[in-house]
Amino acid sequence: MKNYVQLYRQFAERIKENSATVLNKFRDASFAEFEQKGFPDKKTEAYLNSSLIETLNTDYDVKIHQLDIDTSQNQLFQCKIPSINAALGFMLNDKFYMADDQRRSLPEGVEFCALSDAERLYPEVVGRYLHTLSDKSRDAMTAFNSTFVQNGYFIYVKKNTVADKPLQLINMLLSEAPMIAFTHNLIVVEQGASLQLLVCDHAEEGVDFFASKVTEVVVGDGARFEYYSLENTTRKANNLMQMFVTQGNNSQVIVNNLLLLNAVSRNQITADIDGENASLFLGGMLISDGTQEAENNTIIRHNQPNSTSNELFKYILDERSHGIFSGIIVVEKDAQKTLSRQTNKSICLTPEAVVNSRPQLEIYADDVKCGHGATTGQLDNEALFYMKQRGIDQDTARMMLLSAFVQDVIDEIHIDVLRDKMKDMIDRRLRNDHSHCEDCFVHRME
Amino acid sequence: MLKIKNLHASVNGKEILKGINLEVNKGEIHAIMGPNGSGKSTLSSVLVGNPAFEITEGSIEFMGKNLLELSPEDRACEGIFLSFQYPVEIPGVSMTNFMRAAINAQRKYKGLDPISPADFLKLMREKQSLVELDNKLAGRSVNEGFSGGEKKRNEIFQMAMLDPKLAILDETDSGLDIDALRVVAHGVNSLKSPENASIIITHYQRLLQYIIPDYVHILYKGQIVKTGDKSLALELEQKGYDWIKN
Repeated sequence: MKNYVQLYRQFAERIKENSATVLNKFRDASFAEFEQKGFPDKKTEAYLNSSLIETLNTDYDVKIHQLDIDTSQNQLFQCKIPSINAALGFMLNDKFYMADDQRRSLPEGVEFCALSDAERLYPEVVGRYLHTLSDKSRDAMTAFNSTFVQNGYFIYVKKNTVADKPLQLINMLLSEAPMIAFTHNLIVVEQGASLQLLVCDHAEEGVDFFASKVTEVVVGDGARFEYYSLENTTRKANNLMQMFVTQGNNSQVIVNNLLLLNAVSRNQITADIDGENASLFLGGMLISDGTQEAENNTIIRHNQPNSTSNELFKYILDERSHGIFSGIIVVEKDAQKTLSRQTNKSICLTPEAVVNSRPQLEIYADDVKCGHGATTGQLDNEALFYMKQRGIDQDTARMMLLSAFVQDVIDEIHIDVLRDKMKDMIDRRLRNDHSHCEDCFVHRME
Repeated sequence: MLKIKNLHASVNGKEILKGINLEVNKGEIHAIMGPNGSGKSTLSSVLVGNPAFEITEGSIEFMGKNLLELSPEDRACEGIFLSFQYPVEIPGVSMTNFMRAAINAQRKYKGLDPISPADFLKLMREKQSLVELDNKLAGRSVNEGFSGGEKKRNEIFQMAMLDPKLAILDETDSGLDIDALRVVAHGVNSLKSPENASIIITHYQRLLQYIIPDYVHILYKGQIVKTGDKSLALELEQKGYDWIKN
C-alpha cells in the first residue's frame, strides 16, 4: 500500500497552497488522527465483510493540485433524462464546473458552487457548518479524506426558498492513470426551504479509481431535502461516500441511493434526527454482478421525540457479487414516541452471490415502535412458474419479478421523470445491457 | 384434443401416477374425483409442465403435438390453462401488467401484434364483471391480500382473459363459500363453447351441481379406476371413497 503518511509529510505545504483555505484549518488534526489510526483493518467492526480497504493497494496518483480540465465545451456531457430541467453542475475529479447558462438558471435563493468560492461568498455559512458533522466521525477514513481533500461542492438554499427545479451534480472521474480523488461537500438547506438534488457518479472506462467523498448535510426546521444518488461507474471505480446529516424540527429528508455499476462501493450514511416531528427515508437499491461489491452502512440516531425513520434497502445480486448492509438505529433516552422501521431484503440469483446483513437496534427510550427485518433469498420459483403458466417466458417473468422487487424503493423517487428513467435503466440493467457509456442517460460526448 | 396414454409420473423418486389413460375432446367437460393423495393434483401439474414432476413413462398429445416436449410457457400459449389450487401472490406486479404481459406473450406466440391499450382495457372490464371482481383489482398486485374467494375468482378471470382451449380447474371449489362457488361456476359455464374443453378436479360433488360434467373419472392410487357420467359423482358422494378402495 502506498505510504500516504509519508506522502502527506512530503507535500503538506503544496496541498495546503492548492486547497480551499477553509479546509486547511482541519488538516493537521485530521492527519494526526489518520496517522495514529491508520486504515481500518478486517478487525474493525465497521469494516467487517468489506474489501474496500484492499482496493487501496492499487498505486493511485494523488493529485497535489487540481488537474486542469478543459471545460470550455459545455457540450462535454449531455443529460438524457427528458425534461428533468435541472440546474447542472459537474465535479470533474475534485474541480467544480458549472456552465454560465446553468449558473443563470439557478433558482432564486439557491447557491451551487465550489467550496473554494463559497468560502469567499458565504464565509459565515461555511464557517458555521463545515466539519461540524464530519468531525464527530470516529472513522479513520474520514480523517484520511480530510488530510488530502482540497475542494468540493457547496449547495446553499436560503431560508424559506423552495427551489422550483432540482439540482443535478455529475461526478466524473477523469484520468489516464489510476487516481484517488477527494471531495468534501457541504449542503445547507435552511429553515422552511426545500431542495431536490440528483447526484450521478461516472468514471472513465478502463482506469482504476478511488473516490473518497465526505458530504455534510444540514437541514433546518421545516425544511425538505431530497437526495438521489445514481452510481453507474465502471468495474474499476471504487467509491467511499460518507454522508453526515442533521435534521431539525418538522423537517423531511429523503436519501435514496441507486447503484447499478461499480467495483467496490461503500455508502456510509450517518443521520442525526435532532428535531421533533421530523421524518427520514433512508434507502436504496442495487443490482450487481461479476465481482462487484456494494455496501450501505448506516447509522440513524433519534435524538428527539416524535420523529419517524424508514429505512429500506433492496439488493439484487448476480454471479459472484457481494452485498453488505449494516444498519444501526439508535433511539436515545429522550426520543420517546419514535417510529422506526428498518428493512433489508436481498435476492441472490446465483449460489455464489453473497449477502451480509447486520440490522442493529439500540433503544434507550421505553415508548417507541421500532421494527426491523432482513431477508435473503432466491427468486420465487412458484411465482415464476405461475407466470409461465400464463404464457410469459422465463426472461420476461424474471424481469417482472425483479423490477417488482425494487419497486418500493423506486417509489421513493419524487422526481417523476427520474423515476420513469430509473425504471427503464433498471430493466435494461436486468437484461444485462452494460453498454451504459452509450445508453446511460448521462454520457460523455465524442 | 388431449390424449394421455399410460402416463407414469413421480416426484422425488416416488411414483404418483401409475398409468393414466384419458382422452378429452373439444366441447367436453371431464371431472376427476378421488381421495387425498390419489394423484389428482399431480396430473394437473404434469399437464402444465411443473418441473417438480418427472415423467417416467407414457405420452401426452395436445392438439396433435407432443406436449411433453413443450415448455410450460409454450403449453400455455398452445391453449392450456391451469386454475391453481393455491394461486401465487406476486407482490409488486399489478394485475394489469401481469395480464398484459400474458396476453401479449400468447399473441406473440401466435404471430399477432400486441393488444392495443383500448382493447385491453375493454377486455379487462368485460371479464371482470363476469366473475364480479372489483374494478380496483387492476391496480393491485397479483393475488396479494386477496381473500380465498377472490383468489379463485381471479383465476377464472384470468381464464376468461386468456380464452384457453383446455382449462384445468384444480380444486377451484375448495375454500369457497356457496356464493363464490356460484360466481365461479357461472364464469366457467359462460366460457364453455363447442371449441374448448375443461378438466375439473375436485374432492366433492358440490361443484358438479353447478358445472355439469360429461364424464366423471375416479382416480385412485395413480390410476383411473372408474369412469361414468355425472351420476357417478352422486353415487360416490353417497357411498364414499371406501366403495372404491374395496
